[in-house]
Amino acid sequence: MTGWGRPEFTASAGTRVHAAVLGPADAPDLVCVHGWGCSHRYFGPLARRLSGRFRVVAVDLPGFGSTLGPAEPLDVRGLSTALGDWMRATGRGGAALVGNSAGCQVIADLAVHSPELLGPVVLSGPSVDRRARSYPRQFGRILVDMRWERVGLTRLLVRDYLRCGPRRLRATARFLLADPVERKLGHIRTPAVVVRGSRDTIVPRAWTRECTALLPQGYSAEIPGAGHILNYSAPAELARITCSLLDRTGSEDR
Amino acid sequence: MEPSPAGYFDGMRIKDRVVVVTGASSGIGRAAALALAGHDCALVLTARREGALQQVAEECTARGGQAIVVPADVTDADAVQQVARQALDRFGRIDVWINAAAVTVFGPFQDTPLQDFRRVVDVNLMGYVHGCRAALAVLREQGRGVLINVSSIVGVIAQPYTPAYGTTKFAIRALSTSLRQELWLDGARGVKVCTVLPATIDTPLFQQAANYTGREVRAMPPVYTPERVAHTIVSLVRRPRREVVVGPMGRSLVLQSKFTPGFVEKLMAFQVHRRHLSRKHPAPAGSGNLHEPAAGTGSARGGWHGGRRTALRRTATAAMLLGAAVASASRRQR
Ligand SMILES: NC(=O)c1ccc[n+]([C@@H]2O[C@H](COP(=O)([O-])OP(=O)(O)OC[C@H]3O[C@@H](n4cnc5c(N)ncnc54)[C@H](OP(=O)(O)O)[C@@H]3O)[C@@H](O)[C@H]2O)c1
Repeated sequence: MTGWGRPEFTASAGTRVHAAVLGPADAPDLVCVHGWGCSHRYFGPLARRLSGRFRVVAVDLPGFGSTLGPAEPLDVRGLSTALGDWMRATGRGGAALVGNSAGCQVIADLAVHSPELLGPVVLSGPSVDRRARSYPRQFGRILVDMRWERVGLTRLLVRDYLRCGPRRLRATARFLLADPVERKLGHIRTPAVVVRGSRDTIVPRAWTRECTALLPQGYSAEIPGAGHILNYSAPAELARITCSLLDRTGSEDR
Repeated sequence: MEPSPAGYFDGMRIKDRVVVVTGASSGIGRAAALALAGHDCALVLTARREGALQQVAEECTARGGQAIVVPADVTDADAVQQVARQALDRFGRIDVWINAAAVTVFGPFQDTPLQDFRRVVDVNLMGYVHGCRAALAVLREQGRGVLINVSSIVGVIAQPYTPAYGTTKFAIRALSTSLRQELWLDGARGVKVCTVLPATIDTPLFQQAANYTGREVRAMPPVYTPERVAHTIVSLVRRPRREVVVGPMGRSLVLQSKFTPGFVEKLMAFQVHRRHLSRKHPAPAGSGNLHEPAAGTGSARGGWHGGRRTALRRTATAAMLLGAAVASASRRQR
């Protein structure tokens, strides 16, 4: 129904972490980390395009999607610790990571305290632009961006947001806006690509340029005509860019 | 961005297309890149001269497009493959691939060094073959895209003293047709192959050509601008067609050659003899840009006054039409 394979549940991070899985069991793992208020669900289109080569695992961070979270919403460090815990518990240390939007912040934070868990990294639409860290700006930009997204995304996001609940959404947004991600990107020492859609209003080109420059082994890519949620609205392109990164690093033969 | 659902496809919006251009450092390729940049396209520029390509990239950015530079010699299949790779690495897809890299040698058949003949075939034909292979692998996987091969009206009516060039331009038409047929048989309706047949265009081609005729090579009038070809290429992306001739003189020659092939053949021979090769200015023998690229950072125009000549022709035609109209009107009044 959802296009995913059998779900995976793992006792870790003090909860029962849910991950959606797609792809052959013997293929190398590729872990997807969702953004603010989202879940594994919007990674579906990307997963379908990568599942021939990888075992795509889209995890729901505590409090999002099908993973219950603590009553108190987690901050960025809390989320990245949970991600790290889950990666250790499932033996996925060193797997390739694909983050979208705030998922990139979680990955960058993970790199600060557990760099050994990171494989090659795809940062797609990394948030939050240093020059626009305020609620009105971010919400304004999100609304404008929807114009460039594929139909169906809004419905999917609204469901995820409702499931997450307004309290957690608000608290998480506050943490994300205060997160100095530019001071952490330098810790991602593995090969990494920063991807943005050329029409992305949330993540301007100047910002991804800055992010790329901070990565020790980073380069950038840009998908013409695409918006912010590349894994949903430009999945074929993002899949190809992901494959090129992994071809370069040869991590497939890990 | 998504492959069209039923695979049916009749062109695409030009905005935001990812376009690879071979021969982008000069002439038609360069003009096409600039025109596409003006439509917000993302360009992947290739040719041998990196400095020239960098300059084109800057001009593209100034027009609102994006561009990356991937220098390659099109006779190297791996290098061309690498161009496609870089396009995917950077932009995630390829919507349009334009083959326009070419060289030419002027000279009587027997006096043309065999290695120069072979080089022209290598660059013009094998270069396109390499381009088509790299491009179609991607376009077929995507289920969508346009491949544009720039041939010439010389691909319909051959010329004397350029047998190598003419041979490759005929071959390119065959190549395009063959690929189109294969795609059709495979049901790959979303992938289109087009051939462009320009008449004489105001580009540096003639100065850069290898020459063993002993006579200076001139652009054979009527000369049209490279921007005109660029315009046709843009329109092909929007609405692909099998073969398009650029330049009214070219169109009429192509048409005429269907009815009176023998006459057109001789006409062409005579024109080349009289107007393509200078009768006043001698030229030393040389292999031009065949084996090494020309010096400098290139340009779209070749200094043959294509723009001015087009304007003059238009004025003359307008004046003639006006004259005819006035004459017929005054006759009716009488
Ligand atoms: N001009 C005309 O009258 C006319 C008429 C009909 C058709 N055409 C066709 O239009 C196309 C473009 O011609 P043009 O007039 O624009 O010629 P041009 O100004 O001489 O440009 C030729 C381009 O091909 C590139 N090139 C040559 N050898 C190459 C190689 N080995 N590897 C990679 N790139 C190479 C050159 O760049 P580098 O030197 O930097 O490599 C240059 O960018 C050609 O296919 C030509 O046959 C021209």
